[in-house]
Amino acid sequence: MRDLRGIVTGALLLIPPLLCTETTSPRVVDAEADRVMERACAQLESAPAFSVTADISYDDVLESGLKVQYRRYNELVLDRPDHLFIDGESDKGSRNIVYDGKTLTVFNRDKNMYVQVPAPDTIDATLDKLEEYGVSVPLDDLMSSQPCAWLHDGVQEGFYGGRHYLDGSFVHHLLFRVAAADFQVWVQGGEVPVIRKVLIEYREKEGNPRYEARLSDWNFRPTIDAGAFSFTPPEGADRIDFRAANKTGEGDRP
Amino acid sequence: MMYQISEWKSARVFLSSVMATVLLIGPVLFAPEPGSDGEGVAWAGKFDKGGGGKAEKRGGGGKMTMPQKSKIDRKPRASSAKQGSMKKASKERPGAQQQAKARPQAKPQAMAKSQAKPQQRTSDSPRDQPFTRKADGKPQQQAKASGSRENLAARDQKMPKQTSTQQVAKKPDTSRLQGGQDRQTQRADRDKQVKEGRQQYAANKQDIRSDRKKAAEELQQNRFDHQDEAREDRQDWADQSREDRQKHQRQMANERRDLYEDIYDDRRYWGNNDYYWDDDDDDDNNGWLWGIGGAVIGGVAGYAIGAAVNEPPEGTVAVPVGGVPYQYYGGAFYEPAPSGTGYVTTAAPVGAQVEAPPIDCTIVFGPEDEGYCYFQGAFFIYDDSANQYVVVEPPAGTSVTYLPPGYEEVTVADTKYMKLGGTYYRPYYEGDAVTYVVSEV
Repeated sequence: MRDLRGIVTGALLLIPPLLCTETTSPRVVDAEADRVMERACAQLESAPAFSVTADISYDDVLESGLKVQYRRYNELVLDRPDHLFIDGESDKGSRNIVYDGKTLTVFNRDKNMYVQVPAPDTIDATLDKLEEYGVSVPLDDLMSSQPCAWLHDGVQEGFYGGRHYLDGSFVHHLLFRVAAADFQVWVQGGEVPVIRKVLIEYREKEGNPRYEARLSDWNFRPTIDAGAFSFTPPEGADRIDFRAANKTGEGDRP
Repeated sequence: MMYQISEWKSARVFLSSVMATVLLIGPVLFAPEPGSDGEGVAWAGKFDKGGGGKAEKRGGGGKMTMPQKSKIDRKPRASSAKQGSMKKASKERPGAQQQAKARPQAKPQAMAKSQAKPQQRTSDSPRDQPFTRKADGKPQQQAKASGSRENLAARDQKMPKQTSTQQVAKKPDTSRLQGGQDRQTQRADRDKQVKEGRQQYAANKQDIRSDRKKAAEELQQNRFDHQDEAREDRQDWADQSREDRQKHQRQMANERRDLYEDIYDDRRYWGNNDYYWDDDDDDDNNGWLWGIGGAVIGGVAGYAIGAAVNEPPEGTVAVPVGGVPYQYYGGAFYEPAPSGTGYVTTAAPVGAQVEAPPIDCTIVFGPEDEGYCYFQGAFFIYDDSANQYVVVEPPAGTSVTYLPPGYEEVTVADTKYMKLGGTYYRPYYEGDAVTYVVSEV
């Protein structure tokens, strides 16, 4: 009887941990994938400044299922911890984002209109602020102070795919899986490892749209002109305001 | 003589050679260089190198030339990869995406339609009532519109008889007392008749069916243009309410398409003869199929206010407003030209009631979350009591993604506005796009 009681008690003690166990997949990342990615991220993280060019293509999936590939071309100059300049041209319009540590400007060149708001004191916080305003900043991972946050928190699987050919040289090809997407990352090794290409496939989105960015002109010692991060409105440019999502009429009356 | 003939032949051969050479070489010599005329824009050439002052260089002292706009970027999307953030992608949950996947059937069956629509229209939630006028909201608009309805009713008695299409389109009784149930029954009956008509008609004319399919595809394709840019530009990782909006938008888009199908089913099957198939039907009578396509194209792509036409597209409906005998089709209003010959396209007159909103309209939400069908500066709202879409005054606080040509830029109290007709639109940065918000000045 005492044995039976012991078994029951033991079973009861075992049940709560089982119930509380999360159903997320365990992290299975091979050592080489981890090592190569970590090196590239460490390079980004430790760089006080850098500039890079991103040639981006991404899919929109229309309701009919038809996939449209759009292009975007970004030039990025970053000077940590509080200066950022993004010059973007895309199928959907052109845009500059300028952050000088105090002010954030988003300039729509097509319409010659810009928004200027006080900014937080770090690039990370400014990226969050942009997100609050609904302004998308592709490849924000590169600009973040923790470019590989996703590698430590979110990756379920990761594999080293070998050295594959990309734009004239053989580079490391890495594959990762997170809950809602698959990543492929091409990393050029060497003394200064850099990410050369990123391919994100949104596995869970309808039509599995893809985002691809080819990164070139990496420069970790960029020449930054005085005034590179200050914005002077072009002649005739109109200053407008951000409009928070779901705002309803309030403030629309002068 | 022989010599002369052979000489003439030689001359002819020579001339032919010269002409052929010109034809072959001409296009090569005079072909525009890539990137010279908006084609094949060279990316590299568009960027300044070397850090600062780019904005100033870009500005170039004044308004930039508008680049060629993408024609498909206003189309409603099912999904997008534009965010391109690994951090955010790794935080997304599959469940949330699955929900977005569960979108309504593109083309519900006839019976499903008849059940779904009244249900949506009698829901309490404004979000579930596409374009529907709220009973307690916007009294001044309602007053205006109902006033115009009364005027219309009075004028209708004086006006000559409308086209039979319009007679058919108008329901036998739209009284409030009859309520939604009657309309549901009527719609179900009508759908049943349409279905039967379709079956019988298809038995006689299978080829028409393929034409219908083709026309429907064209309609759908056309609908993709001039859609909601702001919603497209919203964040991919946005919260559930945004997901709901998109879902709802699709639902409304589907409903709008259904409505069109219903209307054009009516026209096809009852047509001008008040019955729904015609054994004598021949290819000529299928003109309506292409008429719709043509009218939609004409009503959208070529719809410039003030444009003169000899006559409105086939299938227009008479919509008298304020004593003016407007003709309406595909979102475009036509009024008799001042010269007395032909018609000119005109801005949608407030108070106009139409059975079908513009097929390519953008769904926008007013300050009380009521949905409007926005098209070329006009706001259509569904009036449940009349079962019609009514053009109303632009509702203050409503954001639209584009303005039709013809607005003027004005500055009031140091704030820039775009004035279109009597309406002031204030530009804002909303998401990734500049939008225009109806404002009271």
